[in-house]
Amino acid sequence: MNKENSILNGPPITILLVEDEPAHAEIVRRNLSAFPVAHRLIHVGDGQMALDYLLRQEGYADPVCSPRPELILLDLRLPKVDGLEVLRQIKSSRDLETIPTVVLTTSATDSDLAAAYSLGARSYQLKPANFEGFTELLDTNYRPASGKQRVSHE
Amino acid sequence: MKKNPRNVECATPKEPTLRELAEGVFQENATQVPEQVMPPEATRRTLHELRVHQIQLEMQNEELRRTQAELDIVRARYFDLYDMAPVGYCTLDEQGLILESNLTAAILLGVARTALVTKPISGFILREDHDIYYLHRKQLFETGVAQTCELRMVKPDGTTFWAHLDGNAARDEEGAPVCRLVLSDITALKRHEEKILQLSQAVEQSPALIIITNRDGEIEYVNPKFCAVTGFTREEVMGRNPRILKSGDKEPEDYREMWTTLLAGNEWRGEFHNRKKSGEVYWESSSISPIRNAAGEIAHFLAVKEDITERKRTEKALQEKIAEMERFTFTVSHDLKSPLVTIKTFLGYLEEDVRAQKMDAADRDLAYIHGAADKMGCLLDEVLDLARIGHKMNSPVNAPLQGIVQEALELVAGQIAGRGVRVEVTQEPVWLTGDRPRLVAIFENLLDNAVKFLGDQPAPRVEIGVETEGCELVLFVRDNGKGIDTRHRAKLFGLFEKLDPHSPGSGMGLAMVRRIVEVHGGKIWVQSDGVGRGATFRFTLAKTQLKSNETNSHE
Repeated sequence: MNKENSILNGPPITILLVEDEPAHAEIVRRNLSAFPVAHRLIHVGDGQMALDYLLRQEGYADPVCSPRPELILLDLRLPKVDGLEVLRQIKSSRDLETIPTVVLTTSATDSDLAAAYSLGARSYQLKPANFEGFTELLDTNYRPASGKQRVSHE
Repeated sequence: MKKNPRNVECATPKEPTLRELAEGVFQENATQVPEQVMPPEATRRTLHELRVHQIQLEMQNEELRRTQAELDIVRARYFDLYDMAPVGYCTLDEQGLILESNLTAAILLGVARTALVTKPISGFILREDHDIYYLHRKQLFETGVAQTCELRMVKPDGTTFWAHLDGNAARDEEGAPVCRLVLSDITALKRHEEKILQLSQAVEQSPALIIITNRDGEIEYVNPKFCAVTGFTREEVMGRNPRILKSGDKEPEDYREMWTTLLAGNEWRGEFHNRKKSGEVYWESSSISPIRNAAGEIAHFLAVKEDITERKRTEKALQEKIAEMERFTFTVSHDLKSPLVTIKTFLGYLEEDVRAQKMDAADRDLAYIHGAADKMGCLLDEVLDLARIGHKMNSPVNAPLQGIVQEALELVAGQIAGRGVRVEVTQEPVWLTGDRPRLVAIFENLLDNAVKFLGDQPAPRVEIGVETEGCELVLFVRDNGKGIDTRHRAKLFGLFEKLDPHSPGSGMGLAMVRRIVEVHGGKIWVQSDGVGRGATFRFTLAKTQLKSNETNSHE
């Protein structure tokens, strides 16, 4: 992949990271920190906060402080409202359904993955030790305004 | 047929007498006497008389010989009829001594005929069946009415056989009462009868429900198990169609398929969800097959059914357990993997940071690694703890509810005080029996859970009490917190189904509570009117009692 043309090196986009495990959030942040694209990484720690942010509720009412994400990284196991429910609400909202959503999981055999795909998740990212290939995955998946595409990731 | 000699003597007037016949024969031969030797008149008359007498005697002699031959034939026929009859004949006197018997009887009893005479017949009857015989003989001689009985007879070689005795009363030549007995060997018949009895007993006592219908599907037989399971008496179902049991959730198509199979002469197997007389439904596994008559036509249908309601229930419970185990395995591996991912990743970062001499960053990396390792440790402890419930039990104690709850409250005192929760505990004298630390754990986990889900309730309150439902005591822990989304209710007690992973514990709290309740012979369920309206956890524990404090003042 030509890194020069990569989306990762393009203008920053707003990424919403929904991850309850602070260590995992830190890993994502560190992985993306090298790339200009991720300079607007917003992290929320549970499903309810994710919905509040996306639906501009509670403390996220201000559209300037809470810009609409162009990519969502979503953990499935979340407190309060679980990841599948967040995904369901994203996909049933006319405003949000077009935002590409990538599911984060530690297991490729997660039964929730199939459910996530059927709900319209764009792809999934295993949480291996080094998030290997994570940046490539983002690059492959994030195509603003492009049609849906699915990438299976071994 | 030859003329009976008696006919000659009792001849009707029209028939010639022996004298006339002899005269006829003499006249025929008279011409043969030559004239010149004719004696004088007197002598000639005497001669004539002598000749006629001679002829008469010759004729009588002839007649006797014929009669003798006929008698021999009759005697042979009698022998044939009496001795070689397919049944045994015996004549007994009043004491039961054999006066006479035919050959068949002797063969039947396995002795020579001569050995039978003057022997008591009781010697040929199995000792256990003597009473049957004595009663038979007594009634016969007392009433003079023909009697029958069945008993076991024994031959001198020890072999026994089943005999049917047919007796009638008669008198001998001197007028003394005798008994004429017909003996028949019914061993084969008895054997069949016993076989049929065994088989019908098997059907009667079968643990399976058995129904026999005629070709039109009308019930002709049901066994006791059928009555026991369905609640219908035999009389109530006779002549009716088994569809009286229909619960209505089988498609007409299924029945059509069944009848097609049966009428083609084949066995049909399947399951019915049927209804008892009481209205209760039950599951049965059925095997229905046509029974053909001697002409090979389908005459009856035989249904053998088994009540599999319990099996279905167990299967379902087992499937739930298996699903839970799968979820358990998956969740344990997932939850263990998550800190592992953290540890491995941050070890990599640690290497980078140490190499780059970024000691602050390295400290941060280490903190993440420590945190993840601790989390793994906690998780493994809880998995082991959960696995131990039901295996390692402390000996059961009897303790008041209030004492158990007090102990639990001390364990969660921090959370309770921190959130300012008012806890109310019933004053009812409820006594629990079980593994005390586990019973405490129930309340500890339920209180912890209640506090966790109080939401923004300004006046948080938890109530612990008891209610009577039917004849059962139901304990409850009720809060006025944010309640439970009905969608989560089913998953609530599942392993690791945590709604808030940041809370201490790993989502095994309620799974553990359920496990403890179950090993104490109870069940647990939750009620909530929905989000924002509080939740009530209700559970039962076997051996929970309501009793006055006085009787247990020693506690």
